[in-house]
Amino acid sequence: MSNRVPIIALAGNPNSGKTTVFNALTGARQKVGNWPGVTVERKEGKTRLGDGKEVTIVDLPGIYSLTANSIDERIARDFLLKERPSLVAVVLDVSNFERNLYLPLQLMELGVSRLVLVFNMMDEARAKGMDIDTEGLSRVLGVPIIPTVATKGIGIEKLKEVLALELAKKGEPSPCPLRYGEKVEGAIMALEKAIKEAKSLPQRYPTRWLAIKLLEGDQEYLAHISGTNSPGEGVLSRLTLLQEELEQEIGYDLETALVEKRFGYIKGLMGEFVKRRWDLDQRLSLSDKIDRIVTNRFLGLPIFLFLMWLTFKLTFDVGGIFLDYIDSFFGLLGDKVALLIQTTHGPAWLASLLQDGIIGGVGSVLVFLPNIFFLFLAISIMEETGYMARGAFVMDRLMHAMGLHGKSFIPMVLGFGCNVPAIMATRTLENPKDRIITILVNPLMSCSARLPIYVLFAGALFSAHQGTVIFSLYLLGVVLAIALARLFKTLFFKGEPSPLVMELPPYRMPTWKSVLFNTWHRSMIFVKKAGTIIFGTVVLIWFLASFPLGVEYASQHSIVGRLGTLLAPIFKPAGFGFWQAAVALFFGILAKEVVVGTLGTLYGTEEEKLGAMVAQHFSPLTAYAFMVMSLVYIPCIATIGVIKRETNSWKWTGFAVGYSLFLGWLLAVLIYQGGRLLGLG
Amino acid sequence: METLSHSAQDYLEAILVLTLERGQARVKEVAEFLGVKKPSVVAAVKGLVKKGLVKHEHYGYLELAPKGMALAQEIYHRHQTLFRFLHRILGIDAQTAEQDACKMEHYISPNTLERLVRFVEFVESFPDKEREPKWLSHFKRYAETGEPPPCVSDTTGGEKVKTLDQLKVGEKAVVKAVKGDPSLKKKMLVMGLVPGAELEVERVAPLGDPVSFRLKGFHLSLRKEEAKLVQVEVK
Repeated sequence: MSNRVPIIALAGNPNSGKTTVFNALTGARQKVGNWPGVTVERKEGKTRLGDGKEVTIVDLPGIYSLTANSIDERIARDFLLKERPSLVAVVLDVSNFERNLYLPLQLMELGVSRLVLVFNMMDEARAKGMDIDTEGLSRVLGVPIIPTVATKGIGIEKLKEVLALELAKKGEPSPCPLRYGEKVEGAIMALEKAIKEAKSLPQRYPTRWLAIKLLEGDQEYLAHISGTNSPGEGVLSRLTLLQEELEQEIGYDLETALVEKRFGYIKGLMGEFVKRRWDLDQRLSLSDKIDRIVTNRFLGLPIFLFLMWLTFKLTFDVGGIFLDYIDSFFGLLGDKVALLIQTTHGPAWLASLLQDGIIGGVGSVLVFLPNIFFLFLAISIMEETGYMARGAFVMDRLMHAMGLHGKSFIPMVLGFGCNVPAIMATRTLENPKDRIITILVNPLMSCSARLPIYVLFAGALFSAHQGTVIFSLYLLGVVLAIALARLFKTLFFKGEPSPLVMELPPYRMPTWKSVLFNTWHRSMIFVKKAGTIIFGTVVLIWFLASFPLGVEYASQHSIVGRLGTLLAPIFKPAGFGFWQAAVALFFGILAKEVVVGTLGTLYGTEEEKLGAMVAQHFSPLTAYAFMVMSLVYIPCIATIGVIKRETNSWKWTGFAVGYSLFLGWLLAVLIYQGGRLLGLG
Repeated sequence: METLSHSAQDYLEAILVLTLERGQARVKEVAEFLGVKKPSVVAAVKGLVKKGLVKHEHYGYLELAPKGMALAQEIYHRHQTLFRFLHRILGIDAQTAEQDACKMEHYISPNTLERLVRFVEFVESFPDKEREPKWLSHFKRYAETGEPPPCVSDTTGGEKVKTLDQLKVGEKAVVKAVKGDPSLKKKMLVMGLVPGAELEVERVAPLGDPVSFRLKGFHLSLRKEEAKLVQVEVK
């Protein structure tokens, strides 16, 4: 294994410029995926260090510490414990020195790797009047420190040199210079002894780290030792006594005391090695001036809504231009291929498979790509500038009342355009519970594909009140989303708080490189992962509509037609129990607007005359029930694909499909039966 | 507990304290600790072993069985509480307090003891750990000098101690303590909300919640329900 490519992990706080350092180190040689079992992005890239040696750089999630309370921090910690990379480069925003130094101290305390500290944003620190003695600090901490300005590429070459040097040394993990004082250290040693004696305890954690975390009363580590039998008991009883004794001594709980001690140590380092030429905190920085406007009591909301409107426009209008091209390209390609097969007397089913199945399938994946690309462009810019946190700050009150998080607002608004990018936008939510609830209720926001259905039915049967009827459907979706968000929260995540403890990072100019990288990688994730499911289902439905061989595409004799006939009685209580409606709904799974086209095909009319045809088959009441059904039932296949992709769980995906199907049917039945009782039928 | 004699309780406690201090407890050490002869220790330990409270290995090493450990901890805790009541609250010197605690723990009724423990907990739950409630300082001064308390209506101990959600924009404060369920508390602590940290309320979101604070040179936002868990002293 000596020729294995060495791994260097990259750690750092969110907004420390870690991604910029990562991009500067690896360039375009990146691979983006997910950490196993979760939907947290995992990036790795290759680079050649100063001595020409190739290394793999793994970009850990942005974290503040190494607790097990957030998925990101757990991922980072477990990666370090499992992979034991010999080197960890920690990126710090030194203009925010005090909080940023906490993480490297924790990494030293974990004690599995050697550290190199990247003091990033030295220019901002200087502008703040900070003079940092990096050499002195490096001596005291016992690790190399490299000052950088990653956005301008300053210091990156030096960093590569130092990484190569450190890698060649193959030394012991960096020791932690922080000591907690005689009493606490005594307790740590006593616990370490007990841990070492407890032979049945799995050796998952370094002993000192485990002892400290136990003293802090960390639940996860307590569970780790209490799972063992009698020897572990020894650790536990020792721990309770030590804790009680120390807490009496110190005067408050040990957890607070230890964290305070670490910050106290950092404060000491600052006093010694950071000179402040002037105290800028007294002055208003540019960032604060922007915040005065952007989160202003009166302007905050309008500015947020305006930016949402811009995002919406960019995603659907600008994206729509490209979407039309892609759509017509695949339409044309399908026609040409079908024609080619016809002229060469190939079998008709093959032409249909290629045209409607395969080309249609690929097309239905790629058709979303422009929307998704522009959406992520907007989101990346908002994230990189620091606005995203402000948006959440401004909207949190409202969203929290719905049982969601401030950042849930963006996916909910985007849902009016298309649920696929909307659900992908939930990636900005850190808390998995918030994310799952936002995903589950998102399809209730009437996407633009549902509008053609509303227009057709409302136009045909409610000509005088068309606008009101359509508006009522949008409103119904929103009301349902709010009600279900609250319901799901109490049903599935009862008692689990999702607190808001959020940093508002300083505003920064985004670098185009990282904005585009970010946008590109996220778009590719959609194509690769959600694409497979979407493509597969399109082909499946083609099969159902074309077989048995020889039937007319999607006619009553095809499998799908028979299914429709079979299913029609189920919709009888909702007032539209005929096979055409059932088949149309079935095809609506492909994309909701397909309902309109399918009805056209099945009734054998062109689109202009479809309204009149619909008016013959539906009454206003059944039409309304049908529209509500179309709003609520099963998200389209592309949405199902991203739900699976983003929840990483067939269980939640199945639930999203199941609840919406049932709820849609139930509402349609209630409306039809209720309407009949009121004499509207 | 009732079936255990006073001296048996003392033995359990002695074994626990020795195990804590030296990592082990031997018959000889227990004898020295309690000031009794070795044979009496052996006899007493035999009784405890029979009750399943202590394990007696060879070479005189004594170890608490789980049941004995629980009992010993309870006794020890009771002793410590009494000691704190005498020493910290009444202001008795440490040595006397230690001796009296030893005697009291055996002779007062469980009801009185329970109420005393509650009282100590109550006094110790005072949020400001560096100082004590004002009434207690007044009492101590009174005990020493006979000086009557100044006429104040203050019962909370410090009029400036508030929770973070009560502050107004522009107010500065120093963090005193952080509460909340373990994971939330940890999250706030590692973001720098530790005792002694200075912060300033910067602004409230347009809809009235959350609130943003300047802390350690960066901006942190909390909902009011989280801010309520942070106790501060207004500057």
